[in-house]
Amino acid sequence: MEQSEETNARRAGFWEGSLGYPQAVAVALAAFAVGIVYQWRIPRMPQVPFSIAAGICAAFVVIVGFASLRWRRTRVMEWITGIPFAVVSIVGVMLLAAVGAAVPEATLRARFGMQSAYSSWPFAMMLFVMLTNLVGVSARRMWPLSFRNVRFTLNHLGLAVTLIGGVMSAAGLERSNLVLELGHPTAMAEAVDGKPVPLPFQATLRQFRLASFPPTLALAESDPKAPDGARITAGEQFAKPGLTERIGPYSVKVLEYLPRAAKVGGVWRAVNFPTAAPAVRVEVSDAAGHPAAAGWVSSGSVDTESAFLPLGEDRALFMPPPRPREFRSTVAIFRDGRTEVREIRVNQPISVGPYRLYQLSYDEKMGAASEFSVIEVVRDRGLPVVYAGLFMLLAGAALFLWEGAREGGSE
Amino acid sequence: MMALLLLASAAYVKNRRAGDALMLAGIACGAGLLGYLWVTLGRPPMRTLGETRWWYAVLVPALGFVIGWRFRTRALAIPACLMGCLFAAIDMAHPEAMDKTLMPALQSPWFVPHVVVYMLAYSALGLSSLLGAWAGVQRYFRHQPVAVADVDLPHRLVMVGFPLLSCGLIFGAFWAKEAWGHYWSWDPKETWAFLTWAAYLLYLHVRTRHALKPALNLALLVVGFGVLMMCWFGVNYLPTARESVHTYSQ
Repeated sequence: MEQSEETNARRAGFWEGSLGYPQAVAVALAAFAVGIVYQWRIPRMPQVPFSIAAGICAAFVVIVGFASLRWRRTRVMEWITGIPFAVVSIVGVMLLAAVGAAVPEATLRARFGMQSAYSSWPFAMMLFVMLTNLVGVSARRMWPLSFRNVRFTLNHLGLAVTLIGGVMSAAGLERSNLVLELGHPTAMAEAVDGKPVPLPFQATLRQFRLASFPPTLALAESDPKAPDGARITAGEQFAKPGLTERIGPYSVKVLEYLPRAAKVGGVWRAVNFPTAAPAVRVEVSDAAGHPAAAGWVSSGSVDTESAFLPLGEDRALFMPPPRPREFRSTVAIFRDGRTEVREIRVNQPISVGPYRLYQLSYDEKMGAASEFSVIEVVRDRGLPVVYAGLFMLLAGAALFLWEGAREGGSE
Repeated sequence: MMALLLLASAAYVKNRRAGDALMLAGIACGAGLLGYLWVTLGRPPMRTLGETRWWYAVLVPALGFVIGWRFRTRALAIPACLMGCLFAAIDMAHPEAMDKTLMPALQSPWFVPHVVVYMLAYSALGLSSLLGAWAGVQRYFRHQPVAVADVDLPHRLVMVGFPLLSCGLIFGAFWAKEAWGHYWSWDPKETWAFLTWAAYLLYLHVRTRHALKPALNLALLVVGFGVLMMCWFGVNYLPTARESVHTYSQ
């Protein structure tokens, strides 16, 4: 079939015969070439206001949708909304996405002046080609809508709406970091490029809390072939008195565990200040069960030196820094003459007007004694459109699964 | 589990009922292992690559059994048992430290559904590619062209795996929005997840138009699984891996 298409195309001129894969490839290559020229002339994509981006997207949908319905029986419109066009646009987007997935952003920036492969003109042009196909084919199948076309429409229109929402998001996304110091009110965040961003509310950090998992132990062995010159065998068990664990060839028994400790006068003692480090007193036996070493091991902290237990010349037992279990900030938000005290945790952001506030980071050196907390402030005006598309895709996936699981289900 | 699945694949050659019984016993053992890990670790055993491989080793035979029962075919049973064994063997040969820690970003209601749906999708798509590749190899050695019927069962598996893959991707987007403030960041892992989804999307479109070109369909299935493996394991070895926030292995 493709052969006859190609023969026809040759006979009647490239664009005059039936349209198929060769013409779709030509369009994709042309779009890519236009993207390259733009990338060369305007390396940084200009930031357009959200309303303009939304207007352009709406106009695009109306024009392509109308054209697809008005000229639905023409060979050009059948081709634009057909499978060859879809296949070529998918391959085009995949190839460009693969470049971004394989080449680090720093390399793209240094060699081609690109911020990222996904905010480049060639990628935008390829998405434009894909969206033209998606919006066109969705319009064709939606009008008149039949039950048979529901799954198809949900999947195609859902993807189109998600991508359009993504474009609107890119234009309307406001992301900045709010560095909150304990007790200091601030209404000024900082954008990624370092520019100050005034906020319509004021925030004060009342309290920052960090809880860590109990520490684990690990064995370091000198190994010139290892990336850092040492091979690490990590223990799996949380330290607690009486625990016996095999780490590498050694059996390690925890005799004493101090969640907060410091070395006072050469002796490890329990203390009660937030920057103290966990410490364990252990007894280590070798594979034959003979005592190999005994003593204190600690991860150390900003105030306390770490302690490890040498096991011969090229091995040592040490304690990696305990991992954070959770961290949260209690923040007072002053807005419209009212103060509200809220708690922000990872995975539990809060809403303040049109903004969402996310717990991002803290002073990792100070750990639980951190005196500041970094909150990410996000406003995404394209989000409702993206979510509408994602829910359509979910519904489409459910129908897809239902049909796929039916015996003799249609494709 | 491995012994039972290996015995099941041997039993299927002669006795279907014995094969079914052994396969179910193997799946039950695997499910028991996952339950044991969940309880002893005090968290879902889904954090590291090694942990997800255990899920795969259990879900591939389970899905093979269910789909085989649904579509009244035994063609899936032996490949599903062997694939489950292979992934269990990889985990046995390269055991990973399984500590109890779970970083704050992973403590989300989306964690379990996201990983389980992805593992189910990977299982269906992995089986699909294995069956497709096996059919292609058999035809090659018999000097026969690939037949349209060779793609039927692999295609059914894609019809199950692809919507699950879509759900996994979308659940991930919802989760990312709650954890990191944005639903999509073109992080290397996210990009490879998109590429995997797009590879199977490509297969479905090509299949719609070229159902009578089975060799092309099978080739795309194998390529799709290659991209999937890249997303699951290979991305950790790329220079871009350092930019990813999705690396939870030790």
